[in-house]
Amino acid sequence: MNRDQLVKQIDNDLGSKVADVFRRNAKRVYLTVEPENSLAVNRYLFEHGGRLATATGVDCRDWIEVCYHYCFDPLNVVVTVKTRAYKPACELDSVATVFPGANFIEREIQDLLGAKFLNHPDPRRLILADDWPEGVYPLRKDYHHEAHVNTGRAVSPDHGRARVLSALRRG
Amino acid sequence: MNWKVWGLSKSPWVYHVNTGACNNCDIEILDCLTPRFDIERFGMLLVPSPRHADALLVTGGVTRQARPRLQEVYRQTAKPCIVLCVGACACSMGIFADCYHMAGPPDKVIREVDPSAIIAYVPGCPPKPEAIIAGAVKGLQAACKLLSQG
Amino acid sequence: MEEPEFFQLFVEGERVVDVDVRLSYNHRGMEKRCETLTYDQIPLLLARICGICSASHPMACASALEDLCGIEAPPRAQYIRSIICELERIHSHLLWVGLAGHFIGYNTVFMWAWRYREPVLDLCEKITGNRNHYENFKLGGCRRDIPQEAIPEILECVNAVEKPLTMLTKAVLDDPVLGVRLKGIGILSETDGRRYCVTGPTARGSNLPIDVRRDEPYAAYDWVKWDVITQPQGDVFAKAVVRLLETYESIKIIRQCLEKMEPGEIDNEPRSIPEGEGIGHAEAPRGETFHYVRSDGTNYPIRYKCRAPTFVNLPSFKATVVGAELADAMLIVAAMDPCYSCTERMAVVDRRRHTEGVLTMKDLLRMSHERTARLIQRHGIRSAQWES
Repeated sequence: MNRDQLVKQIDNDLGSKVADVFRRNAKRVYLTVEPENSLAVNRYLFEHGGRLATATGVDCRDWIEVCYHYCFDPLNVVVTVKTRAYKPACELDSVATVFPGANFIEREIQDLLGAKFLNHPDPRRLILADDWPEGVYPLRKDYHHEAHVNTGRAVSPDHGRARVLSALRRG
Repeated sequence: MNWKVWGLSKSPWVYHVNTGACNNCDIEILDCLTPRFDIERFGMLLVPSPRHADALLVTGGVTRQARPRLQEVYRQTAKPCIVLCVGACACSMGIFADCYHMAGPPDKVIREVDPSAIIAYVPGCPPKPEAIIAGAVKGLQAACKLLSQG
Repeated sequence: MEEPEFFQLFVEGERVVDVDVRLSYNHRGMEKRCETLTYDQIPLLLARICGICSASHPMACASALEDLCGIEAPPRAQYIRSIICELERIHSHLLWVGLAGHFIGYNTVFMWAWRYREPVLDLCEKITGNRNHYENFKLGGCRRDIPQEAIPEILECVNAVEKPLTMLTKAVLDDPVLGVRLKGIGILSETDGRRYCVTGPTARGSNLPIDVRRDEPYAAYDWVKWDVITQPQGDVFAKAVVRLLETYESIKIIRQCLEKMEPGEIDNEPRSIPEGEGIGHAEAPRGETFHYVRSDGTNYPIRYKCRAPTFVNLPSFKATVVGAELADAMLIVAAMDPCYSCTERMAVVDRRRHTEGVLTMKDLLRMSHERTARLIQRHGIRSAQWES
């Protein structure tokens, strides 16, 4: 099988579950999928030889976009499943119920962006500190660094200057 | 010179703690043990417990999760204990100064528990083993001078 | 080497029945920081994700940005990228072999392996300016050229590494003590490897022939001849063999790159970044580094995602450490070559006796060395290396 055949097969087998198939270039395919179909599409890609490299969460104001990146190594193509976790609930079915490789990957997005993965086998905090406040998601666009600084945190004079400089850079 | 201080200046035992480094400074510290640099011939040993340490080698800027652990490690060391901040991140947090999960550079975090802690800085990204050894020697000499002055 | 991760091992007697890990001690917030950096600055930050994948992350970054822009670096830059990535692989694998020896109790292997890393690090310093963080990769090519006069010196260094590498390889493969200590320990089956989506030598040691350099060739990897090394057994020994044999392949790649490299430009100097998305991945010594970038056409990315190989390899400890003896737990974790090579401490919870204790590095090393000594006695092995 080659890349084109894979894309055709995905289109045929998944049909209406995939809202859009975008081939950015020969090696990059992006599938847009509604949240209710995300689990089925992920399961299909995993069972047909895809290796989940990682998943990216992006804060898009009214939803958190979650992109699952599957590498089909022998075919030299990366197929990305783009789905949305609409705010305020931000819920998606967990892919970790299908294979354990998605476990840590989804927990990271949960910590940093607040997307909730339903039926996740182990939804504990993974990478933020024990004393990090609940409900504060640092990768969201409305995260304000200064507002969530722990009063016990030590700040050096250089740090203050660096923050001012980066605020200026951001305009 | 006070015999404790004299002992410190001769063959310091060192405890290494990583509070959020990329591991490069840690690798260069371990390199100091290997045959090309071989600090063990000077009596410098890496010890497995802070209670045996004369000097604390800290690498990395302190992350929020690591902050209480670093303070606990410092409390456990026998005083006098010299803190050597190895690498740009340990000196000033460097490029991570702006990051949300950082609690501060090690010197500020340690001074919260001991305002009179003796701290030396070895900059570099990572500092070469020669720089680490030179920094350790200079830092220890300066610290011993400070301590003997009372 | 201690990187602060906190492992919790649940045991019944001496056998591990479950394992958990607490990350966060090293989380610095890189991805958020990338959103405030320009595309030229980002590779410099990303080199510091991990000290010893400091060529692989900028390589994946350059690939992702070039995917976004739809451009390629000039051929000479591609050769330079391959040379630096392979030099990194050589000294990273030698580091791992040394640490593995140290955990078992072979401090001689540790000292030798690290002593023979030094010329490779010196060479990296001569070519790029630094022993580790190379700062050479950028969108569109490389920042610094390798002067033609340096090529004979590079070849000399690479040739000089081959002899000690052969000595270390023989020391590991032929030594009876290492055989009984490492074989059959921490087996990751092919099926589990697929389910946990592992990469790198962790995957190739379990018969999964995944290698980004071959599967999606970047830099100069499809312009030179080399082999992907796999082993079918899935245990710690298999992973050691994969790493050692890969180092020979790295030497092969460097020699061919130096031979085929022609004078030319090293930087395409792209001037604008379009709106869109890019994905790039590279084969670090530990596995696949995967980067994703989303751009809105301005100087800063909307989102930058970087995933280190340890993040996907580490969860496989559920399949390898569970069922193993406590004395082997550290070795099995180290076999994945995490971006930290050992943990500061492990907490051990004995479920049968309902006790919890914390084992320090010293305790774990002692247990590992004692196990080696017991195995030597049980099998009646006489080994000059061990007795020294």
